[in-house]
Amino acid sequence: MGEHELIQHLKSGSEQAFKYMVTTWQDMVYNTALGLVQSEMDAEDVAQDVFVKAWESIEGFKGESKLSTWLYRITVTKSLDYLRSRKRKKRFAYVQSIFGLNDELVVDPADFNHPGVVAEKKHLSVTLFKAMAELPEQQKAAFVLSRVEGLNHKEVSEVLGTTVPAVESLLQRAKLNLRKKLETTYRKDA
Amino acid sequence: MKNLKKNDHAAAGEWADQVLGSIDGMEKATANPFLFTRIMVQLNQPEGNWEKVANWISKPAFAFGAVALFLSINVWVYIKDKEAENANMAVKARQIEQLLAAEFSGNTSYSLVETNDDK
Repeated sequence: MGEHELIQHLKSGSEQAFKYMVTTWQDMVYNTALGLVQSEMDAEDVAQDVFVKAWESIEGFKGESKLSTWLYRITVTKSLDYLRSRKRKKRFAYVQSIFGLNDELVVDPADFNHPGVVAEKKHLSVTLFKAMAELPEQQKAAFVLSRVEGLNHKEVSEVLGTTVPAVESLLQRAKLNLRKKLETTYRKDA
Repeated sequence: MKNLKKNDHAAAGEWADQVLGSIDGMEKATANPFLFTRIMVQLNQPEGNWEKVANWISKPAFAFGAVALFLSINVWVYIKDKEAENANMAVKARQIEQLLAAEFSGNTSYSLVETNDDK
């Protein structure tokens, strides 16, 4: 099925076309969400939300970009929204605990272990993902799309709605920030 | 001492490089094979009243409408206030005009300032 044809079927409400879209791009959406939210359960929820959103807003899709680019865009937006809401909840729980309204401890999620990393590098990748979680949103999105999803700079720029030089700058700053954080971690642990 | 610091810096940089390279050649994670079923369950769930309200409130049109209404009320209150102030000023000006007219028309029985003669 060609992309144009698929979009037409999706717009006419075909469940078969929707199933085709989900099965074709579910791994791409899940892997991107996983890189950003760093939790397998949360990434599943995000992937689910992404396809529900795509189904509900396919009417508004003008076909100016590829369907995969559009799905990437929704994934990044939903993942960043998810992270913001997680941060808000954590802050709220902390405030509640100060006033004695909530006795539950505010616990940070466990170290994230990406299932795709080779065994001998797993312990290092845990440190990298921890540092990635602290990057500013746009740098984090660019880094995940480029390094975890393997997109080239042009594709990243299309997803983030920016230019190639802007993506290059984002990636450069992301690497610099990560390097600083990692060097600090090294000195702390040494 | 300087050399030690230099070595430490080099070691930290080397380690950071190793960590940054730890995701090179990583495989992509695969989604739950039942994702489509889960999505369909979510899509076929009837929407609750609170969700309907939340969905309606979260629409940008609602936010813009609320801001527009808030600004309109502010502008209306400001205009009304100005009108009332202008009317007040006009009344005061008329009173002063009348007082001055009375003062300069030779009618000494009425003045702006109470003098000892009046007492």
